[in-house]
Amino acid sequence: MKKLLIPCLALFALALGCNKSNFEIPEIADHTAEFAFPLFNTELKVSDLVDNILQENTTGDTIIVNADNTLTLFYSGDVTESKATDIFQFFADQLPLAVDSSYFEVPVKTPDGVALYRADLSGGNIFFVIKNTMTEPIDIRFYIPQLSKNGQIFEYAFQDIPAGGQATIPAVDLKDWVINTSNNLITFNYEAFLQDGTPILRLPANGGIPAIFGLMQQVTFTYLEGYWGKVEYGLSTETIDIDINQTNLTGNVQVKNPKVTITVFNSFGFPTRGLIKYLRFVAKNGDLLELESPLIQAGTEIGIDFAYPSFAAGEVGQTKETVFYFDETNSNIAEIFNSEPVQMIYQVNGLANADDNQTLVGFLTDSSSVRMNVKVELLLEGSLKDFAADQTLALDFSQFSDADSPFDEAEFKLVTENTMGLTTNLQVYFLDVNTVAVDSLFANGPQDVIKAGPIDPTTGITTGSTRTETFIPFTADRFNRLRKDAKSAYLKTSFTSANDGTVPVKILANQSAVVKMGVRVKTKI
Amino acid sequence: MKRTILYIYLLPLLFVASVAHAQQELMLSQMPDAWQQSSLNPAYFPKEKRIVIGLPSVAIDAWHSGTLSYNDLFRDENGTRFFDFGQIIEKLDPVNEVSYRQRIETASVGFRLPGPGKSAITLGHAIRLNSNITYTKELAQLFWEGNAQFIGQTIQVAPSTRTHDWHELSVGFSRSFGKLRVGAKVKYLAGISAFITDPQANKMSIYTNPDIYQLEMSTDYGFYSAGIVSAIDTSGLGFDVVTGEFQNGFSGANSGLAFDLGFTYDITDRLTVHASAVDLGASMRWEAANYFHSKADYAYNGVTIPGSDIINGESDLNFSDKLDTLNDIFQFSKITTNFSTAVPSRFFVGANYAFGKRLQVATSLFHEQGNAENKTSFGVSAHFMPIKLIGVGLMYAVNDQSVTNIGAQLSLNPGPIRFFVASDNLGGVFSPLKSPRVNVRTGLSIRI
Repeated sequence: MKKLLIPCLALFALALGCNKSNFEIPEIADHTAEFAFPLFNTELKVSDLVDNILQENTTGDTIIVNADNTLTLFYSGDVTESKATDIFQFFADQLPLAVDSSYFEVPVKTPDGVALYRADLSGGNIFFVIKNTMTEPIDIRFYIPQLSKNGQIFEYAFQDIPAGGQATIPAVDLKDWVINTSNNLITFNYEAFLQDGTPILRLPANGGIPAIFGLMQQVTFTYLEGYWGKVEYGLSTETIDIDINQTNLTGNVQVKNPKVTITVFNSFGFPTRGLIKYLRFVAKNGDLLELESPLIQAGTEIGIDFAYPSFAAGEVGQTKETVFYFDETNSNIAEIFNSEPVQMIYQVNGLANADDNQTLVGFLTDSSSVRMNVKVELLLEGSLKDFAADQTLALDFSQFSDADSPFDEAEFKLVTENTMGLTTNLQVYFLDVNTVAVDSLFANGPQDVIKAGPIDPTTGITTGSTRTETFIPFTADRFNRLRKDAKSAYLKTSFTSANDGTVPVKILANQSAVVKMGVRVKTKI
Repeated sequence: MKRTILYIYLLPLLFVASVAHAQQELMLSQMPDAWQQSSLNPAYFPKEKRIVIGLPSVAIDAWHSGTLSYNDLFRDENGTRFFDFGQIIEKLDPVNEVSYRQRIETASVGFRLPGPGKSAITLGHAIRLNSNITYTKELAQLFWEGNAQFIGQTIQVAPSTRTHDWHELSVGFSRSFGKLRVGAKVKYLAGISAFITDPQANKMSIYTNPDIYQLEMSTDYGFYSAGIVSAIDTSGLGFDVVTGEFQNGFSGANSGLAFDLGFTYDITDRLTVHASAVDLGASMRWEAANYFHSKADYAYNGVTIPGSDIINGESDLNFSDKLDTLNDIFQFSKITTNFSTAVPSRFFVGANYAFGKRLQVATSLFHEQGNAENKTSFGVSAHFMPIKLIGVGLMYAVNDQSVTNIGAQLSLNPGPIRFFVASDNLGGVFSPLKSPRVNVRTGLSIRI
């Protein structure tokens, strides 16, 4: 037995020791690992949006951050300017003057209802030709008492004009000359004498042509003073685009306290009343919606009296500002804006001396004008219900052509922290080459990916932030299908204000929405 | 090539498993007449031999905490072998330790001095490697399974290691005083390379935020390197570890001394007791080495896109600029410094009793001191030499983790040649890939 023990132990040991071991270089076993890491984060600030609007705006539309961080959106038309020189025509371009007596009256050409008292001229000229239609030499003095310069009236004297001869008053530049008249008349006078001192009451005409004739032309002024009677004239006609909802999708926008503000800068030196002939909106469907207000009464003289610089108060050269508006207190504008108008059209006329004051003295200068700016003013406070925006993006997954992608499945985690009072609902449809949806981002329908912050219904201002987490699973098979078929993505987004669009909310400049995404990826290694 | 060498160093530490906790060599200390016992006790010199030549021999002692074996890492499927780290993760402890110790004795010689033969001198050379790596289960899970399982948790992933190898040149002297024989050995240690993590800076944590999985990393991690890592290049997107030239010879700059002391005492002709202390004071000072330190807090929140860019319709959103910042996670700084490494001292106490020329029983107690955790083990063995050519032995041993360790030895003695193979763990010898531990010692000598 002892003799067998050692060989048996040795053989047993050898048998164990000779086990084959596979030392070839092994391959890494397939296994699944799951990694989680962040993808991106961003903060969408209302203030950045405001800056963007202000930078990109080319239409005059603007947005104002108010002291309490509320925002006011303005849709503005062009500033219209009606110049006095365009509205009121004084002095004819050319005024022929046939002076057929020693006292010859000519009325100044003025608009209807206006009587000139004084005109400070800035240009134009006047000249005369005096022909001696007598049979012997004459002396003559020609003058215009209403036209003066530096206190000296317009006056010319000629001596010993031979019979049949003539004298000429060359073209006189009327710059700095002043017309002073009490009855809107200018008189041309002359005193003629023979050489022996015999006065000539009237130089006879020659073949029907007056002995004295002249021309007053291209007269301009720097200042006019006179009586303005009651007269209506056109001021402004304008169209303003209002693009609250630039999409073709349905949505229910309830704007709180919309306002149309009309600002008038008036330097006409007499009372003017603005008569709004019409102010109407074009609805999305093309219907015309008339703004109804006690201040708009077609066919009447009801209107808005513009502030004006007073002659009596010595306010020549000043400009007075008048601001008036239509809001829900004096019009049906709130009702109109709930139908999402796209355009506003208006016409405003002016009515001078509406009270028909017969002793009124007014004035104009060569720069007098009425400038008018009309704005649609929307405080960003209101309610939305399924207010929609859509966008189609081209897709190109060709760079992910590797069918042996190591990704097994992924779950994206979208997190939003929103201090705005709006909920954003999103769905993305993946479309094939025929724009037929082959898949959608959310299998269970559109998701509220950004939920409105908690709202104080009494102020319409959010009181904090709402965090929303949305998980978006993606399998490798699903991605491969999209890689092959999806050519575009149709993003359908809709916004609803707090409490399902029932509570008006304010959008404040200091509000924002943090959007960030991470992903858990299961990989096949 | 450098990296390959690095892996050759490190991978065995991960793959080999054992439950032993030190290079105890209990069986060698109890074997009768094995020349390599002189590495454990400088007083030992074979009786009635004047010259001994030690030929190349190897001692390997490797272990991994827990119950893992090499084969746990692999599975065969349709004739192909796959590396599957996932199979062992569940077996890992929260903190795991891998140790690998290797002693290659290239040559040694011993001879008795002329005269009555009471005195003997020994000379020897060996290359030794000590390596310990500590790593967390979380690190293995992160490496193999990803970080998603740790969302909302902070995990510690900093590994630590003490790895160094060195040449050992020894000169020993022993002398008999009657029944007592005492010996001493002086060892000159010449360091080859070292990679030592800084216990004062050994933190590396990762937190995966449940929000959108932002990654927050915090490091206070340092390590000394001599002859292994010379630079960490974080330029560009890469994270490139530049290794230095491995030293195969004596560098001269990295050196130290160690001492062995021991005695044997023949109480009777049959009973001998012995005791020894080896690697006393063993330490090496590494000159002009590198110290790398990372102390940083880093958060990766994904690409931050300015909201204004989105609102403005900016199309040129640059992601790569943001990704570049990954290079800044660790921010390793490098300084040139000196440091020291110590080799644990080992102590043996034992006794041998011979029932005759063919049967001997022995016992020994082993203790190691010098690492953070001291180790002690005890073994009892029987050795039988049925014929002069062959000797076998079995040992039962108890250590810190197990009370069921069975060791064995087989020796062949053809003429003046003596060859043996011994292990403190029998299973590890015959099936090292399936065994939870590997401890093997070979020896070849010529005795005249």
